[in-house]
Amino acid sequence: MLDSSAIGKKIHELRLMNKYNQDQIAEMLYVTRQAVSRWELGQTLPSIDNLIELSKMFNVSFEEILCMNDEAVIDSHNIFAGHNRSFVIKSIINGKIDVDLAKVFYQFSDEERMQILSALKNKKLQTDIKCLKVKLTPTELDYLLGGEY
Amino acid sequence: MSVDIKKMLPFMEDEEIAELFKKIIESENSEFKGIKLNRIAPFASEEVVSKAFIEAIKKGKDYVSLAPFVDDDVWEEVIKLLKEGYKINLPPLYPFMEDDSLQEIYKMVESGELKDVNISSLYPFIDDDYLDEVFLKQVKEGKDYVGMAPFVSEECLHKIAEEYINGDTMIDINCLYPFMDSDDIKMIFKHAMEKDDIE
Repeated sequence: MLDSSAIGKKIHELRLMNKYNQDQIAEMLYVTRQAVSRWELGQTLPSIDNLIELSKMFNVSFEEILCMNDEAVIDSHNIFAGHNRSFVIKSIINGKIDVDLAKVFYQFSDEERMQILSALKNKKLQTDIKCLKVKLTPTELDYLLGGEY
Repeated sequence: MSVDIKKMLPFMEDEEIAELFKKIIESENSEFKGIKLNRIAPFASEEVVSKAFIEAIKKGKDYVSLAPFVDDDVWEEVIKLLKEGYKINLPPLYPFMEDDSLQEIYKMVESGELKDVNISSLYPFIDDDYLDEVFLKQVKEGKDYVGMAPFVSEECLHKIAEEYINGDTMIDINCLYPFMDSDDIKMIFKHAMEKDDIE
């Protein structure tokens, strides 16, 4: 899964480096300036055709624009800073981002907490349950461990 | 001398707890002598809690807090209540539901039998294999599949990527590539670039 926030920052950085403004990019790609702004803010991703054009314009590979070779740097004080929330959650579940779940658990929304717990329950994800236990609500504990806690 | 019921809870018999559940559910403010449903649930058997859970749904009381303590069989009863038209706040119950019940709810929402339920809130809790199967079916039938994409397996998206490259599907790949595995993304871009060169 791609990190739209990191890609947005990369497009912004490459645009400034190549001395274009958003209007110029929009004109060259036949999209609106708002579309370019949404890419840079990480709200949407460019289409494949537009990404290919952007890579030609900036003279970089599409892998570079898509930050495919970059390792996601996660700040444990704010794991979502600079990243798309779904990207962070999916990467944690897939084991692509290594975080101390017990330490960062308070940063997840209620739904995200259940997604993580569901992954733990279904053994898709491993963590030290003893440390995590104290961070869970009684309902979450019962969901994860049943009567065992 | 008044008896503090809260302190007595661990020592109560099932029948006494069931009576307490009844009093709380029937009370106007959903409590009896300062005790609410969620307080007594851990001390009751699954059978007693399940009965109270169904009763609380019917009377519009706090059933959500009982969900972790119910019997697995109760979910069939919940489906029946939904079919009878009872309004149930489903999302907080999803984590405790059986796979079959979740699939049944999905089918009801999808068919329009169950309205006012955000179908995407179900995706994180639906069995992976079932979600993959539904996703592929939606793609094939040209129905809305984008909302499911973050929750389907990478293997399933790989299948779509291959079908796309081989020209076997008319899918809008721009909506799906962000959720794919790096190798599939590279394959799709290389394919698009080759096409671009030919044109």
